[in-house]
Amino acid sequence: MEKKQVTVALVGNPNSGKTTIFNNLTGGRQHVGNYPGVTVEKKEGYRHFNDHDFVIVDLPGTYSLTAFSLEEVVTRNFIVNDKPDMVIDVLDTSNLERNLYLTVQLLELERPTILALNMIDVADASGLKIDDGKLSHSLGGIPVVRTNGVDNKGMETLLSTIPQSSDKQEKSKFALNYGEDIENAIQKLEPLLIPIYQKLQFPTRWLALKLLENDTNIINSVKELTNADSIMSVSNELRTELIQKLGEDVEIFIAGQRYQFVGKVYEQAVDNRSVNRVTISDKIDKVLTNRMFGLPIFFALMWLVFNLVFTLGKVPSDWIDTGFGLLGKYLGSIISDGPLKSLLVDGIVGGVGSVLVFIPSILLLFLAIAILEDTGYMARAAFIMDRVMSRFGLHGKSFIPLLLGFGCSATAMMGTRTLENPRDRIITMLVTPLMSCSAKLPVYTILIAAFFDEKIAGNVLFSIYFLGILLSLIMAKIFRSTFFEGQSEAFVMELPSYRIPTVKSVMIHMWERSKLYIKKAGTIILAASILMWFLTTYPKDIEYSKDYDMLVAQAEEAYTQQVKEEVLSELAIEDIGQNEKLAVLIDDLQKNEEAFAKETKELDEGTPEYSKLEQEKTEKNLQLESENLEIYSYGAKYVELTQNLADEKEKVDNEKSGENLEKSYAGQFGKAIEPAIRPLGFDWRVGISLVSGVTAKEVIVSTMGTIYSIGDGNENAHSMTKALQNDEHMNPLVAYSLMVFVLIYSPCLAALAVMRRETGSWKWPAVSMVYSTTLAWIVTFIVYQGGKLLGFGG
Amino acid sequence: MSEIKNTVSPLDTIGDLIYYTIYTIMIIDISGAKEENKMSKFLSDLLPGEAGVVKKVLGTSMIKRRIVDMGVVAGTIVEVQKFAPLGDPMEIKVKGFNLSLRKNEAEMIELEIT
Repeated sequence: MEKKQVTVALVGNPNSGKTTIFNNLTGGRQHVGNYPGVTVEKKEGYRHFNDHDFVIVDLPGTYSLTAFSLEEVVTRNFIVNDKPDMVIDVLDTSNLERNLYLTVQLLELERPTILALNMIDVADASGLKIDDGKLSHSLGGIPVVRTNGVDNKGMETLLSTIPQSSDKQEKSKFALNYGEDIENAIQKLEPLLIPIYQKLQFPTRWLALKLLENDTNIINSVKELTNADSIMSVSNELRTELIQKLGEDVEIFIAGQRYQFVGKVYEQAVDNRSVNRVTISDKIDKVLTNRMFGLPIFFALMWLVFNLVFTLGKVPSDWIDTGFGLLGKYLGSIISDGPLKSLLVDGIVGGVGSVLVFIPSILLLFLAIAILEDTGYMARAAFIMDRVMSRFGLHGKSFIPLLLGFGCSATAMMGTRTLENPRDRIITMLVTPLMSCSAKLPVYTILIAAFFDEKIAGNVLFSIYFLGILLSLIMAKIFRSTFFEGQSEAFVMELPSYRIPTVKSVMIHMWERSKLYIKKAGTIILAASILMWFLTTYPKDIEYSKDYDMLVAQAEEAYTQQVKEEVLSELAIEDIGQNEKLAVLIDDLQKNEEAFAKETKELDEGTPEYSKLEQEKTEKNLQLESENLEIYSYGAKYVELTQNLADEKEKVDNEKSGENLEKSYAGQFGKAIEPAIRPLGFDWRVGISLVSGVTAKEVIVSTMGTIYSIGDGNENAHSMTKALQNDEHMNPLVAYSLMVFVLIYSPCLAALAVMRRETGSWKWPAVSMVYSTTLAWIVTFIVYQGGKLLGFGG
Repeated sequence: MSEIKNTVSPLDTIGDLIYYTIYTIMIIDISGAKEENKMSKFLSDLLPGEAGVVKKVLGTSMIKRRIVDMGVVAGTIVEVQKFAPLGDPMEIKVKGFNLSLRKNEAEMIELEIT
């Protein structure tokens, strides 16, 4: 055994456990990319075993090898063009006939193949008895290995069988006899194809079959060759003859022949075939897809998932929030004032932090979805919801991407790959962003916290989500009946057996999806945060409406004067340091003030907690008074004057920052679009935030944070609530209108980029952007103006 | 047979009645029988618990190919398990596994008359 690199392709039906085997064989050593020029995912992994380096490729799950879906075409092209040393056909043993249908097609591609009888435990449990030898024999003598992916059994046998077998197997001459008529036709067509074998690489017999089957992909490839016309005319003639003789489409007849063959193989190799017709899975479905209970159970599960994600996720979210706040403070203290500090603290830490806070919720959401998929319940969800989906022109399978849309639209759009029909895919992609993604949640949370009472907060949030769902169904219907008239795709879908997912596979599954979101935070949002920071900070050399510096100087002068007159001269000192007792008193008083300010930061005046703290402060001050009778009034006066100066300075600073923002690039742009958004109740500050949200929805919050902390100048500004409430343009109606607009308008760059990849051009992302922003404007207009008419808002 | 006997005898009238009644029944019976022979059975006609043998899959579309790829070919036994809570789609057992399809897709699957 020499050290050698061995390429292995994993093929098989969906739900055959292929991916579990892939994970077992490769561990974490995987890499996901794309097949050149197409949007099909390419998964590759590595394993070293017994002196061999294995490169393992997990091809997409398919039921057949027709030209009707990209996945099938990519699979057969890979096997024939990339020529893997070994093809492993992973079969769901409890479902052998249908799985063998793919097997016979794979064998016709004439590459060394091994059968992996997977889920062998399930088959055994149901009493099926399989004769590996007979099975192997009827398929041309290929090796058969029993595996149990979930329990990680049979993996090493597979790995050792691969090199042995690849040496032995030459072109396996497995050939299915399709009956006299077809075999004669093949005999006539095959010789013509020998010259083009070099170009197309597929076995000639296979090519002949495909031409007779009217395989569009092969026909197109053949037409590009030089002697195409002669080949095609013979092929077409033969096809017409066959259709007459057979009385039906050639490809359907061939499929029937395949199943007939497979049926015979199954009968010969498998015993106890009719045992256990009703499986455990069926029993579970008696409850879960029950006509009475199915729907309520489904909604209950969805509700559970939703709450798990958003309620449970809040706990670690708060930790992260605090953590970033501390980081910001720390950096603020060790770096001197200037552009770098501002960039780091306000731009980067502030921006990215407000995004990463939502990672716990994202992880939980994708965990829930991974569990639903791996247990097999997702298929039931599509089954249950199809009636509703199809009424709006969607497909039961669209349900899953739409559900994923609640986590992240970009990821959800990747899930539209399960839809074979491009029309269904595009409509689903256009409508998915209306499923309010998790990145928009921070915007809602902050606005609701600022303007709506705790008791109705849940309902307000729900109303936004509900509006999104409603609009998505309406828009889907509109799209289907206007632009996308045409046949819907087949719903025909397997309901795989329920299974207990392995922790490992769920984790890998969850992590794959979460990774995308986190990458977004790392790259696009970081870049967007920095860009927003720049646009809101510069230009710095602007002309102010007032001379702020002079105002500050004046205030300070007045302060010094007052302190001298009312405190220092009364006590006959030049400086408070000269009277130790006074200095201590002042220190204590200021400490009380600071403690009070810190504790009441998040509270509102007039609440019982606030009054209580106020009470405590007054008591502490009275205590100090009793200890320092003579000088108390002077100490208090000093503290008062100092406080007033600080307030005065802060006010000036705010105004100055406000003007900074107004005259920055971002502010200028915001002012420019203000007329367009004023009918919606928005001002230029909101305008900037909305524009920033096109880069990524999370950035809206970070931009608002930047805007308010700059416009406010207050170091406690990360308490967004207070800042929002202080903004005179903001009131509950505007806040709600803003939420509605954010719900509907343009999807973020990442989602648009995925759309581009999945559809192959920028046309559809552009359509998405335009229609959604227009729709957002219209709906928000109705909400805001309607609300004003009804008397809401301030 | 459209001649009507022109007598006024009560016996004749009753006779006519009986005659035309039998005639009417025979006609209905014949056409009914014809109807029976013309009638084809489809998967969409089955109720949960009922089974049938596939005769042919109609149509020419991609959907047909998909149905066939999943094992619904001539000679296969299909058994209806249930309908979804909202009435559509339906779930059938075929070749040992569960397949769901819409009623309008089931209408493409013609079954043998037993």
